[in-house]
Amino acid sequence: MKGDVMEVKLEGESRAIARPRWLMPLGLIAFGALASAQTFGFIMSPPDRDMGNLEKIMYVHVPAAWTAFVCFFVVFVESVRYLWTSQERHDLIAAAAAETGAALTALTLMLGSIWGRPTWGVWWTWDARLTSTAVLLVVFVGYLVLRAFTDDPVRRAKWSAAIGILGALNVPIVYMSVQWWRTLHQLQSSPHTLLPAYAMSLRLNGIAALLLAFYFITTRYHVARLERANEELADADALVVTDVETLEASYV
Amino acid sequence: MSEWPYIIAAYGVSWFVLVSFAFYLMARDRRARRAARGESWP
Amino acid sequence: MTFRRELARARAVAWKDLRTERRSLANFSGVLFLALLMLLLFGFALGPDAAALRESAAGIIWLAVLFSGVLAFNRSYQVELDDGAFETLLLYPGARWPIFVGKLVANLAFVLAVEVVVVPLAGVLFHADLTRSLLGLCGVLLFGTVGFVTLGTFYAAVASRTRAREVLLPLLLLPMLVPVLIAAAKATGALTTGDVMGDAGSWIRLLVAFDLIFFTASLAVYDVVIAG
Repeated sequence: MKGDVMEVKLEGESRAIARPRWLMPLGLIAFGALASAQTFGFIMSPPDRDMGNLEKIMYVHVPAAWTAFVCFFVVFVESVRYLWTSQERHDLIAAAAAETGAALTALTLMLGSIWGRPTWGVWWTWDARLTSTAVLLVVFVGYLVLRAFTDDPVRRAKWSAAIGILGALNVPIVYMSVQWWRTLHQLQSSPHTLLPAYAMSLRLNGIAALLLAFYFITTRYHVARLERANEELADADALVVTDVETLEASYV
Repeated sequence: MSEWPYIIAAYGVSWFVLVSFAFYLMARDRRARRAARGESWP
Repeated sequence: MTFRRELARARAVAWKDLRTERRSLANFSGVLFLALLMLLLFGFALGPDAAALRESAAGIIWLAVLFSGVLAFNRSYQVELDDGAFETLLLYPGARWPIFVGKLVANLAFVLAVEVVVVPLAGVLFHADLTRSLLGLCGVLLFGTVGFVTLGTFYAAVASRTRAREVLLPLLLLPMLVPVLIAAAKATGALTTGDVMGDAGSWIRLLVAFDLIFFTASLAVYDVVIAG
């Protein structure tokens, strides 16, 4: 891959980690696209009959939610691919998607709260969407904490993949359970109906958000590759210079 | 209109989170590059 | 290896885990008394009003079981970890699922034993009528506990081998338990308040479905986590 090539050196050993040249421009374009889409939405959409101007919050909340779930889907797919192929690449992509997804999920919850307060008067409702999003956040965070506390890269990859797959399976199950939980008590379901007048703005914002997520995941992935190369060379170095006792002590 | 604080808050929080995440990625990248070159980082 | 051989291995694992448990009874009483303490604390936190407590009884029971049961799961891998017996266990030929099933059964016995004491006591403390549909209640407790223990045994295989197991096990396990918790608490609540809406049956069926899904999923990836 042409572009920015980083040489990882240690004690004479080195490895070249290449990075696509379009990455930085992509980031600028993605942020620019987001700003444009939001401006478009702001100007082009009239105030809603019921929601008033609050529908403008939809243009940040809904894309954030969509892209968060796309990230989570990527985690699932790449976890499966890792277990299937044992290629580290898939593990790193999954981890990148998990970090991005965690940030986007947290954002989604905050925006949902900001939307809910003026709309229904409450900062939180126990509806299926919000609660499964909250559970998704905890699943992402658990995944990332596990990775942080697992030093062996192969074990980290395998365990993350297993956790990622199970976590992914759980989210639709949680969604379903909460729906049951609510309907059996005839509680008010949250109205998220969207009129066609807003569809275009929403779609544009959705595409921009997706582009941004793609930028985040790709960047994080390439940084992860660099970090892994550093880690491997550091380990190799440690094996050369450390005596046996110190080495044993570090493998508790 | 009492809705505007919420709208501003929504857009403000969104940009804050997204830009912060971008900076986080850049900081992490910088650290990795320094480690690759064999330097120590602050 | 034949299935019967593997089943025998599972039984051996379960038996060994349970015997190690019996020798250190302190652990069982520790968990039991923690659960009872939780019941008391819930009582204090939620106020002396009998009606409010009766309404919360089902939820409190399951929360007390969940939080105290979590302690049991890391311990079930502790014995092998402490003695370094893990590698030996993995060196034996054959599949890994007997390890999972064996530990699952041992943990199930453990948590059910805790519930035998905790549930009636909760009935007394929170004025919940447990005898109303005793058979149904036992069913809910069994199926809810199976779901709980299945996921607990699975995630403990991971968490117990990390540096931060006390935090990591609840962090990984509890979000997965949300469906089981919802179904079990709802069913228990329905059964102890006369089941006016006839919900309990649906919730129990849902609980069984969850148990099957989570057991299958855990079993499918157990090889990856235990040998990784």
